[in-house]
Amino acid sequence: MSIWTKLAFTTAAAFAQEASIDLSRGMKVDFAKDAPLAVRGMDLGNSKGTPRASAIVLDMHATLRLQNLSGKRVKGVTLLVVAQEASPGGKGSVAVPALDVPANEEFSVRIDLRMLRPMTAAGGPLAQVTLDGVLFDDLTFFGDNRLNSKRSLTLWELEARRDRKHLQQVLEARGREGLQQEVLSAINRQGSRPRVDVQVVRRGAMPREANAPATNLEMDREVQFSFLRMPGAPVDLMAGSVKVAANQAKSPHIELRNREAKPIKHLEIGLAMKDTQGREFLAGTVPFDTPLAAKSAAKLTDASTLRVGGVVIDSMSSFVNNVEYADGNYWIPSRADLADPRLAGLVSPSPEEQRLVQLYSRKGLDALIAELKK
Amino acid sequence: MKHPSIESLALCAGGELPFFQKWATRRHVHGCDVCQSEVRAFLEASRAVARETDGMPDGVHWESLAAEMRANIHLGLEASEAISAYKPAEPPVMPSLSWHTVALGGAVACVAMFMYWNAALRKQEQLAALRAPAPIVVNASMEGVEISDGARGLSLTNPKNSQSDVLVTVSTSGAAATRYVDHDSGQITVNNVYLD
Repeated sequence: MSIWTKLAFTTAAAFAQEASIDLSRGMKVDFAKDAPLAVRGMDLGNSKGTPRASAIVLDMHATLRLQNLSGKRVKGVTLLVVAQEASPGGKGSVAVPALDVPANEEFSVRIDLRMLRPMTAAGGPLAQVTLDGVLFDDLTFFGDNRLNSKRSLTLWELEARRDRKHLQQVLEARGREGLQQEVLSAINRQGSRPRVDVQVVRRGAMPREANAPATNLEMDREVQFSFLRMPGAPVDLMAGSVKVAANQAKSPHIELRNREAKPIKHLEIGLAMKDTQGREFLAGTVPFDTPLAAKSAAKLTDASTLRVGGVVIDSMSSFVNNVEYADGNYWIPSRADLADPRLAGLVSPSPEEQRLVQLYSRKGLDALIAELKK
Repeated sequence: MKHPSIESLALCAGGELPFFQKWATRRHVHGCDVCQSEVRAFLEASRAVARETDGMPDGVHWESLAAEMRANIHLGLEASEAISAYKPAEPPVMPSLSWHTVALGGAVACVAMFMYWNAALRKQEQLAALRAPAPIVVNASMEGVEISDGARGLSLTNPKNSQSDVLVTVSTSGAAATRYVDHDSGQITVNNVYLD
């Protein structure tokens, strides 16, 4: 058999495999009957399946058209994406924060899903999409909340309100030029963030990088955290360290104390890394889910490992990112807390700030001012 | 009649044959005129040689030669006595180590052994970890978020035209997120993956 004949057979087999996958029924969207959102359409666009050895790679590009049936303005949505045969003990979600969808209006959510699964998988939908939560303008929430969407959507909405209010105040106090300067600073902050890949393993050792030599075993060294203090933070970070080896940070532990007279349900600490070239960036966050009584101290320990691509870690610092109180209220850094340029460069910009900066970049200052006056 | 060889007759003339051969050869020579004449010739030649070699050769004085030989022998004897009288120097005696030097050396050796043992143990642990089954990794990059164990994987990808504005973050709870602005709609989208 000539090489051309073999190639023809291989190509035909590949097309046959691709043709055998019915991607139009590959994604099942299933919202509860009492859900405040309804699915009005789904476009699978140029979704395709590509055989690869004994597995198949499925690229699904879906756009869901949803309608707000609630009678309130929708401020954020989280969709849960489950692909049992492709996800090794995990799940995905697509969230859309910084929305402002009036009652009965439609909006779109884009889901770009890629799965690698065995060729001989059982029938049924490749992926199931359900509604994990919806946040409304009065900060009420609807949904199963399996992914703690209520907390994340609420935090994003509080940040959005803080940043919109700040920009509106700047516009009022310093006019168009002042607003423009403020937005340009935000663009600089966002543009100066290093573009790094980050990986996390919750238990066990991080697998070796693809291009790392087999003998490249770095010894761990204990690195003490330096703490970035925000004047308004309700929690003090007192001491802590992490094991560092090359581009990995392992098993952080931090001693913390609740300064407030009310108990805390959950808090999140930001971990910043400085590499040997002097670049500092937010590498990840550490959650603390143990209830913390008023004025009490606790110790946070974590067994996970973070790895940041293309850097060598020199030092690490941390700060309080957000707090959820037991009474359901939240604390986020104020604009005054973020006045420190170092903190402003480390704390992630809010989705709203990211959206408004993009609006300014694409449509100009007038469009931004019009948006802020809504 | 068989005659003895000429070598046997020569040895017989010199009296150097073994006993039985000498008896047999003499018995034959006694009755054989030819062989008697050969033996007689060997005896006369032997006596002639002895006469010629008797006394010292010309120019050699025995007294002076003997004196020289005695002097050499004495010299040899004296040299031998001198060598036997020589005692090699004893090796230098090392000064004894004080107890604190020994203790310090022991401590250094213990520390070195401990450090070696510790390094070997940690290396062994790391190698064991490398041989362990691949753990589930969550990854966040400009391209999107992914959860994978090497064989299976689930990714939520970011559109190619939005990858320049992507914000990446991970949580040690086993979650990874990327956030981008959709250039078509202007909406923010956050892709997440979570470990169970």
